[in-house]
Parts: sequence; structure tokens; C-alpha cells
Amino acid sequence: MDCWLHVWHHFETRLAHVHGNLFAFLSIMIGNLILNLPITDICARWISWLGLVGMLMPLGIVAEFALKTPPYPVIVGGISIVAAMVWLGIAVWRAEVTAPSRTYNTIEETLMPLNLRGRSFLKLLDFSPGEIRHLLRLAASMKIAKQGGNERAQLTGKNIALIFEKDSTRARSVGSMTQFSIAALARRMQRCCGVLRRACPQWANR
Amino acid sequence: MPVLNGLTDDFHPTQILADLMMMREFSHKHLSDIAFCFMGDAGNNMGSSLMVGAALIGMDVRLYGP
Repeated sequence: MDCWLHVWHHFETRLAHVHGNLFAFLSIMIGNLILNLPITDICARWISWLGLVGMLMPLGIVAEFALKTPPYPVIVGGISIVAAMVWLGIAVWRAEVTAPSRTYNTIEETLMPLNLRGRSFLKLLDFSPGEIRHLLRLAASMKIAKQGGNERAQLTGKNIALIFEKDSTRARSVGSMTQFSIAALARRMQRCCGVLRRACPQWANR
Repeated sequence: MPVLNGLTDDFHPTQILADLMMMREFSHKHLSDIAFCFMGDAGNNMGSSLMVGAALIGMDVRLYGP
């Protein structure tokens, strides 16, 4: 090791070309895999840094040839790119076992514009993952519009009736706030336990 | 006339939508990469709805409760 390190001109420039191209290709491939496979963030961060440090190898070869520097960067780069590839392999192998696979939208869900008009929201299982994501995206965009001051009054002319099976201050206040916020002409059935008791006798005892 | 479920004894879907929205806003992760644990009355409406919602999105959810 010691004498190997003291032999200058161990590498020639063609090696730098080969390794530069190869490692650049490997880095792109690592990035692509990290983007598309379910790998945890910490692993992804370390693997990509190791892959980048691997670029020290071609740089070190050039530096040794041109500037007569000792070939330490070559060793560091070589070790780190090998470590990156091994770690990536382990991460992919473990990710398949432990991490839950992402639920991607189907092609129909992606291409068809979602229309939830007239749909009731009774329980989450009535909705597909794509529809729930759509609701979240819609809520986010409405929130941004509200913060930006260009909120549209989308419920004008609609009526909202709040029916309470049990007393919930939060639900009542949020409901009222929503009506004012989206400028709906709302009519609230104030804690209509009496109405419910007449309509649904099975709830009367609760 | 569409009916929205605001809160029932068995399920609380709107609360789950709000929770998912909160996770979306405060986490840099993809929603289906999030793993979380719910500690509290896991046998109540929140527990079951949280389980359903997280399973639909593809999250890793653990419920912990007495």
C-alpha cells in the first residue's frame, strides 16, 4: 500500500474518461431509482451523497495525472461508489419487504376529470384513493385561494342544513364558519333533537 | 341531496380528511410514505376511521390504546 501510493503516474487519462462517464451514468441511475422506488428518506440522502462522492475517483485520476497529487481521492471515490451501490441494493431489497407500496392512481383516475357532484360523503370507504387525494388537493387549492384573497363564492344560492345526532360544539361552529366563509345562504336546523326523535325513534335513547 | 357525515358514533370521516390535510401540509413526505401511530381511544370512531383512511391512502398506521 505504502509503495503503491508513492508510484506516480499510476493512471492514465483514458481511465479518467472511462470512470467519469461510468460514474456519471451510475449517479443518474441511482437518482432515478431513488425517485421511483419506495426507499426511506435517510437512506436516499446517504446513498446519493455517496454516489456523488464517487465522482472523486475520475477527478482524482485527472488530478494525479495533471497536478501530481497522491491518489487518495481515487481510493475514497472508489470505496464510496461501491458503498452506494451496495447500500442501494440493500435498501431496495428491504424496502420491498417493509415499506408499504405507494397507491398510484389508475389511468382512468388520472385521465378522467373527477366529478363528485351529488355524491354523499358518508364514510371513507365509499371513495377511491384517487377521489380522496382529489378532495385533499381541492381543499389545498381552496385554502391557497383563501389566503391569497381570491376566494370564489361557490355555494351562493345553496342551503346547508346541520343535523345533530349529538351535541358537538366544534362541528356546529365549523359548520357555521364554513357557511360564512364560502358565502352560502345557510339555514341551520338548530340542534334538532326533537326532529330526529320524531324521524328516527331508534336514536331517541342516545 | 348530498349528505355529509360530520360525526357519528362509528365513523368520523371529515376529521380524517382534516388529519390527512394536516399531514400533507406539515410533512415533506409523500402521503403514502408516512408512518404514524395514533395513541388514544383506538376503539372509538376516530380509531376506526383513521384506520380506514390511512389504509385507503396506503399509509403505515398503528393504533395504540387501552
